[in-house]
Amino acid sequence: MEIVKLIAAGAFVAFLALRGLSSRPGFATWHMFVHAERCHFDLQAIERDRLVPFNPWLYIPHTAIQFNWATIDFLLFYVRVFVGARVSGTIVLDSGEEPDVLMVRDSRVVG
Amino acid sequence: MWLVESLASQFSDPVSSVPLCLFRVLFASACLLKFGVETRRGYFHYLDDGSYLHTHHVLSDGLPVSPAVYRYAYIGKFAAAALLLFGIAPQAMAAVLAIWFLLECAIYFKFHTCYFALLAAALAFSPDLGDAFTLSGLLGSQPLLPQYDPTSDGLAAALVVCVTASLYVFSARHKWRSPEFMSGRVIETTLRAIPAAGPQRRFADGIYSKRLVAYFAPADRSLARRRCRPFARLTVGLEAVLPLMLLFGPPLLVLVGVALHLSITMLFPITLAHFSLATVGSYVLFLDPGSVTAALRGLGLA
Repeated sequence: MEIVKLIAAGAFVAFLALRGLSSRPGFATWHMFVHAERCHFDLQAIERDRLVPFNPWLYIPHTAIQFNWATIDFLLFYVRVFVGARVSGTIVLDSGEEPDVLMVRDSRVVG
Repeated sequence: MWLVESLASQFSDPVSSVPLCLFRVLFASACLLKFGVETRRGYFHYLDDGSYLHTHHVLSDGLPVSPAVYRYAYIGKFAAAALLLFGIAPQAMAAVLAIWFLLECAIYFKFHTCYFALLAAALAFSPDLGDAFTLSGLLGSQPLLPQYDPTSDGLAAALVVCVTASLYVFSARHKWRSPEFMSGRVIETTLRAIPAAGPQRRFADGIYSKRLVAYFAPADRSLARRRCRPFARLTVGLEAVLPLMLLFGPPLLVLVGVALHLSITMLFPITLAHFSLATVGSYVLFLDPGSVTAALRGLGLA
């Protein structure tokens, strides 16, 4: 019985070590706070021919604070297709030395 | 050192199970705190038709479970955590929670959820989780700590120690290899972005004092990074050595870990409080089990 426990413990530790050494973020790899990919939204939606402030945090999970091009692309797609909103404005992606300012028109990045 | 002795004896030498039971209580409390905060933030509806996460899964890899199954499981996890807290069928409840956290990782991946899944899985290895701090002890029909010294094989405690140690060591490794973290950029951009987005974000992350934000995230970015960099490096250094300090150092070194978690929790006090409670709670398993039990008896719990 003791040998079974030892093997179980060994397998558990080997799993943790293999996962921890992985360079690709995933289960038990512990890549917390490794990347600085924060975002600030300044968006407006067109409602009855008027521009009103649009808050993407009404839809994004509260703790999803790490953004990159892919997540912004999906967010705008979701807003356009599933929320049905046409948003314009800027998204500031702060991931490098200097922040990138993305121009948004009709729920698409245009520059 | 108890972990080395347990390994050397192939987990045949009994060790006091009281610290493991204490960790069970702390971990279950952390689970309930996590569930409470997340429910307030709308997690119950995260897989509803048309939601952001539902859409993301449908368009990418498919839904891990149906929205109805998710909601039933969501309610069930509260019951599992409460039963684990009171030591009722604790091994089975730990297994149920492990399955829930794995499901949660598949739906909405977060590293602290991985950590909770692994802790729950480690606890599920022990049949001795209900030896102390049970509901009958709380109601007064039994002492919180039994008069005899209950023992376990130490396997589950060893696994919890390994999970927490791997969390620290590999987190330090990844941060060390990240120029963004080591330069202080992660701390700076986080302290800049979260308070700035505060009015838009529906739920509070915590109270960020203006002085704190002004000091660590001033408009001059090079100044901000100069101020954040020492804290980034200190974090990596502490994470790298903390497991060894806890295992081999005097018990007072626990305070170093507590200080580290206070600083991490400062970034997201509400979001990360449960994570810090579980992590710091696991420190009781790094210490000598006999000493922890004696200290608890000294507090008059027996």
